Amino acid sequence: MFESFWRPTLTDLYWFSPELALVGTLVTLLIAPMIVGRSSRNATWIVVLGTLVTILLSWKVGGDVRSAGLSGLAPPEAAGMLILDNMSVYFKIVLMVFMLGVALLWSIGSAKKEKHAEEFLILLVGSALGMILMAGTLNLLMIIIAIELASLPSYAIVAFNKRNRRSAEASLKYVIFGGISSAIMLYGMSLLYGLYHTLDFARIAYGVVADLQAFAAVDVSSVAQSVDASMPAAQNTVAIGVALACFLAGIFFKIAAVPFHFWCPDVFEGAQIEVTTWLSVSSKSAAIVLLLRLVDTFSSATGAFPGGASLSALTGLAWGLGIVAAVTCTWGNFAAYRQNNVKRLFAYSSIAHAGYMMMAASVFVHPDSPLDYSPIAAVLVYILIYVFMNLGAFGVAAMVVWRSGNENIDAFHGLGRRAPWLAIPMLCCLVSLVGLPPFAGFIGKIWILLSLGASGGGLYWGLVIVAVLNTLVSLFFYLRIVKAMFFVDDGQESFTPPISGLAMVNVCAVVLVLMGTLFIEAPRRKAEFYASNLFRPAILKGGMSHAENAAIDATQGELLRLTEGVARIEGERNRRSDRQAQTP
Amino acid sequence: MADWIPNILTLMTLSPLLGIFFLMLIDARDHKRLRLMAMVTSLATFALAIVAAVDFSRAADAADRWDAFHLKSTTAWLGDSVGGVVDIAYRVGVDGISLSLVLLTAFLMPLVVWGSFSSIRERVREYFILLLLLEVGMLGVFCALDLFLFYVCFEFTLVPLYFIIGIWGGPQRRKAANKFFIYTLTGSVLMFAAILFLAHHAYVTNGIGVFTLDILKLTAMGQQYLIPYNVQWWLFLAFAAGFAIKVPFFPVHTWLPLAHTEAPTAGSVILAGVLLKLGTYGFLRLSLPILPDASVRFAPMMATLAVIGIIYGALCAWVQTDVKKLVAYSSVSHLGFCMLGMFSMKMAGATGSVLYMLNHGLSTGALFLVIGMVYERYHTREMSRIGGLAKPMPWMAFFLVFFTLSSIGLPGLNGFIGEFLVLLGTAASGTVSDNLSAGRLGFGYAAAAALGIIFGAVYMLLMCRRVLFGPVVEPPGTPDASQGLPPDLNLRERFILAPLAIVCVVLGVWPKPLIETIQPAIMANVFQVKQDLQYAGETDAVAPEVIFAVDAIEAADDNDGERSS
Amino acid sequence: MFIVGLTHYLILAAVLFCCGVFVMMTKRNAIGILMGVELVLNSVNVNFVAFDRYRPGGGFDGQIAALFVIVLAAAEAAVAVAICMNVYKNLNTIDVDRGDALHG
Repeated sequence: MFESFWRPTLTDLYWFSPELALVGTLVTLLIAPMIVGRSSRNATWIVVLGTLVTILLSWKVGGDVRSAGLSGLAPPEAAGMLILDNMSVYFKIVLMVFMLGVALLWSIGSAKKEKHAEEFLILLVGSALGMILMAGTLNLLMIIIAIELASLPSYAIVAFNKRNRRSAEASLKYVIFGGISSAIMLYGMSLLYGLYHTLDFARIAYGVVADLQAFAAVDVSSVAQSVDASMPAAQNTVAIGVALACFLAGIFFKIAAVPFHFWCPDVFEGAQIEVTTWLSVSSKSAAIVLLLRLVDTFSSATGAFPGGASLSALTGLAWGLGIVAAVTCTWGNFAAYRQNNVKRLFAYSSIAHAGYMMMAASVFVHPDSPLDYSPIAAVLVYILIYVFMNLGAFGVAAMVVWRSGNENIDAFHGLGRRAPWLAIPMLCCLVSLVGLPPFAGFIGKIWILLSLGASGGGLYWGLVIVAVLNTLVSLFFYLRIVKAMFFVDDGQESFTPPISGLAMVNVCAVVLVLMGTLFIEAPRRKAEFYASNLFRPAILKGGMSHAENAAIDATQGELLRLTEGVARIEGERNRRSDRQAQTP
Repeated sequence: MADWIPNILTLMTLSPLLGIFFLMLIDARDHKRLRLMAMVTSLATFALAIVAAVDFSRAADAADRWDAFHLKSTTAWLGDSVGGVVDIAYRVGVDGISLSLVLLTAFLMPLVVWGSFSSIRERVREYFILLLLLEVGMLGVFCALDLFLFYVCFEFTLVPLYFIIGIWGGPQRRKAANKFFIYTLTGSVLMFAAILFLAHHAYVTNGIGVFTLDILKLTAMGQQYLIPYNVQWWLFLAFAAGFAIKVPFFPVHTWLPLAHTEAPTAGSVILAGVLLKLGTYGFLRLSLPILPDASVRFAPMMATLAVIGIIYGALCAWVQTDVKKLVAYSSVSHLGFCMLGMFSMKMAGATGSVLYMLNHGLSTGALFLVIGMVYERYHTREMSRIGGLAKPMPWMAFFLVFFTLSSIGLPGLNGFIGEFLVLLGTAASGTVSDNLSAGRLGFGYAAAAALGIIFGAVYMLLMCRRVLFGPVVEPPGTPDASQGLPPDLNLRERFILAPLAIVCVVLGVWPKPLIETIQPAIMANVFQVKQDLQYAGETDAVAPEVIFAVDAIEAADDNDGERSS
Repeated sequence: MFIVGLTHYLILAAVLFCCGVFVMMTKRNAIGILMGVELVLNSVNVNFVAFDRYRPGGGFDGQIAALFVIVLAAAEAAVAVAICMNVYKNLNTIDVDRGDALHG
């Protein structure tokens, strides 16, 4: 019976070599101390090397997949289990660049006195691996494994400073909230599995759309005929609602969307500042990318029906996501105002920024009429910009905190005089975080707002208004830091920060300026390219019945084995387009 | 026709950046060289602005089109390419209106830099860098022909001025800087949403179908009835939120007096001279042409608020004891005139409005400079603590009186002509003249505004009397000669004020060339297209209200048509 | 004759889920909350296995999922208990309400 199991060939493994390279880095980190002895310098070099290899491999693999004429790739017979498409490649590269920055920051600050460097880095790389998997899967089981793989090391890394009361408490809160949310998410998944008898999210989305459409139609019986007979009968929409809500709760937890954000400020405050930096971008952006993929699956599922289901079936979902996004954004900005602790302030700021990104994720686009401004591309650009904004801002904050041992805003007093080359990049990052020209944050916000505006509709213009008003609110608390840096001077000593740290934050600031002035279009065009051709399992490709879809889905697995050549894929495509032409 | 220097506007706008680069190279303690460098940079920018002006007139003569935009250049910036579906590009160009404001900006800047030589003694390098950055932003706003560029520059001016007020300002500088930043940003974020909506509207409109922020295209769209009235209504409010706060318009003016009082002299001059004009310029360049129906609809409301602002500002100025605050409130009053003239929807009114912007920039800027010079010597601006200064400071007295007279609109000086035209336009607004249909203002508005002029004369002259005449009152320990300043204005200070005075006289005596530059642009770029399209056949018999009813119905029909198709 | 069907399993799972949520909401002791989490995870397992057994067409997806959930639960419990011990060492309590170093 084992003959029937799929065994990966070398080619198959090659497609997932970036992940394997990360796993290799993990293993090397484990083994290296036994061979060359414990040394944080060696460990850091291993991570840097592993990250660079991962970036290169992602780049190459992504190029190979495209040159083979494929929009995406998943192992056969488990469509969507592990997806390799442009978006996942993009996310891998961005996340790895960010991890390099975090590792650099850590090596500047804490590495020298750290006795457990290997363990710290293993946890870091482990959570990165989980996040990468999150960004490249459409399978419920894989989603939960990826989320847990990202979460468990994060819980531990927050508690890494064992003697610190605040880290201990933060990690306790994190693990308990995280455990609860993943348990609830799993419950939602089990319900989805029960409703649609599959763990493949594409099929689930297809079923959900069919059911919701049937429910939305006035005359249920007539729609029941138009929906394919091979589909199970319309399910109870309440069950669908509960299941989806439970499922999304887990993702919202990772995003720290309101009302699942309570962990975020405490964890950010309690953790080491390098860890805070890492969590502020990575866990949120990974979950956002996952959310984008789910949303895209939903909206492309509407194109899978012969008559073409309308997006209106998903209105409820869009409103739900939009409202959560608006509330998240507003809450984050208002709550940040009261904070004195810089890490806590940035925690709320990151909640707000996740809200902006979620706004774009609430846009459902019909696959046949894509927008000129893809919301997915907008979010991808935003993530890139956000990486630099946060790396710069946290980098400066870290150097100030290390210097003064004080995490409150008054540690920044007079920074403009004490360390101008920290204060200026901090200013750039903060203004960019507010979203004012001429910095990249403004551009990132523009793409998101344009994608909202281009999709029209009351909800989205409402979100635009909320977003611009939030820009204003956010100004208040970012300005507090600016004021502390330039307008208040209580005579603290000036200091010279480590040169590599200075280089890092200034590079971030320069990147932000360049992306806000001269190179506005290029990042978006790149992102547009990476957001195009999302992997969509055959069931979502439309124009055929459920049964046919299932059959093609089964054969697509075979087809995707590149060992059999691209020619067959082309043939299959032609056949399908012929068939589509025959059935107008 | 080829321009003399390609991209002269870009060159001019970005030239301060080169100066900033050199400033960064100079040792921060070498104040002398820093000042010289900043001065050279601002003079170079002014020279480039003059070259641009000459070039503009040459191009206009060559094309025989004084009413068009010249010196245009376009470079793809956002979007796929120029003219693609996403058409947001780096577009610059000037017409008569923007050219005159560009010249004003570039002219004031060297004077401001020169004026800061003695008053700024800390963080000199940062100060000049911020000042020059501010100049980039302001020139960018006036040259922009793309809403995106416009907005970027519009917002960008906030940051340098925030720091100029917040670092080099008076005792309450932090509060003032914050208030300034937050007020202004509040409006402009709403405006930003409106800009996006406008672009989106262009995209969904038949015949355009481009996601464009090209101001000229949007103007054409607005003038051709492609924006339904109800949409215009909302967009006008959003744009007004952005610009009215900047102007500052009556109910939202409260940030201005504080910002003026706390800002260093240069900050005040730039704020009054140029930054406030960004608001009025925005109304003139965007609200009126792109949203013509809503502008006419809102004209009485805007004019009423403007008149309230004129009188309220004047009354507030009357009771001030701080000279700078007095001039700040007078700005509120004066900018009300700009708004009033604009919304008369008459050539005379709008031309007067632009002239008023320039004159206010010159005379109020000069007043702030004079006050700054006094402050450097006496460290106070309280009228109760200084008096009779005409005796120790005859030069200062001369300039103060001169600019006061210019500010209150003495015939023969620059203020008069703008004021006169504004009132003329307002009073004649209800008539059909200049080939323009009737506006909605009338004699009543003009009469009320004229009251503001009388108040203006009263409080300005009162101020002069209290500061200059009577027994000499000087705070103990002053005049402060510790920084090497003589009791009266020194040669440098006189040379700062003299050009301003000369320009005031020239503009007052012979404003013809300026008016001839501005008027065609106003006709063509603010009113004309509208007039061609719609009002050409209208007679006086049609009351404005009727026209609006027709507009609204047509707009509703347009809407229905779109929906059914 | 009384036949145990899908519904009964689902009711069992729902009851377990509710118990778990109740425990999570009422317990203040971190270990107690973790036990609530385990209850929910077990209800998930019951769901998966039952749905798998009664699903048309057959297959092992659900059962495999249940196995993974068990593993995940174990891993999570390990990390969580380690963190609880660390907290106890630092704060001498694992009552989640007592944590007051962070004002959250």
